[in-house]
Amino acid sequence: MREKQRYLLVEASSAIGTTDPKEFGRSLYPELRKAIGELVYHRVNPKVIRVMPGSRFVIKSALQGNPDLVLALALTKSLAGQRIGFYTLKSSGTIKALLKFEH
Amino acid sequence: MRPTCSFETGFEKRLGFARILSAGKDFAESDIDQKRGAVATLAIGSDESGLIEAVKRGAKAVVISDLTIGKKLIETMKANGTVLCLPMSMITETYGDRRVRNTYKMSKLFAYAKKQGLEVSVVSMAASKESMCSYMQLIQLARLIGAEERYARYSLSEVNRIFGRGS
Repeated sequence: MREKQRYLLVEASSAIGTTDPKEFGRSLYPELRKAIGELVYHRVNPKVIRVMPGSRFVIKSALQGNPDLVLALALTKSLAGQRIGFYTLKSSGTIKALLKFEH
Repeated sequence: MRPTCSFETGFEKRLGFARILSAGKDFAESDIDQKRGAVATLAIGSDESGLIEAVKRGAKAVVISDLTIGKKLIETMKANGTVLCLPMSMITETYGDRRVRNTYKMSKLFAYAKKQGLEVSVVSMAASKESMCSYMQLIQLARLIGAEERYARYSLSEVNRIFGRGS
């Protein structure tokens, strides 16, 4: 059975510096794991889908883990040694709706 | 948010707020641990007698910096219709054991204050742009300390009513 996903449009307080979702994910996932905790992380299962030029990105999670991801992003204040803040702007069940909001 | 925090125009709309209120600019705040007797809309401190005095002088909201509340303060706040504000920066801006302790104490304070019939509100009290939270994040932070989603939304809308008109 395919698990339901939830997509989040997130803005960072400063430029992300890359548009590669894998590269950005490698630095973001450990910070999220630290905030959520290892036992809950599997339920959230976050994955960076798209990084827009500038400071916005789209991240998906399992539907039931979405509130934990919103919290984890609020608690994450540093990334690769740099101080940063993440603001969740919109949540949607489809990536299409988020990109509509973005434009 | 605190007076040290600044952001560009349109930022508040992106975060999901009609307006972001700044202490010192949109309403007066006073640290009662440092200066007792000042008249302000928001009283911040840990000294119970100082907070009681501030409430009697007309403070509309109180932030308790050590997250412990006494019965006398509760009674005075109830009698004056003062709101207890819980600053989420105590959770988002701390790390490790301190964050865990603050979350625990805040959830206990929230439950106790609600049980005693106090109106409780969630505020960001962000000191910098990085420590600000979107509307969605504040709702989840309120849920983390034990608020129901409906109450969290209500309490956030009440912040404008409490501080919106200034002091």
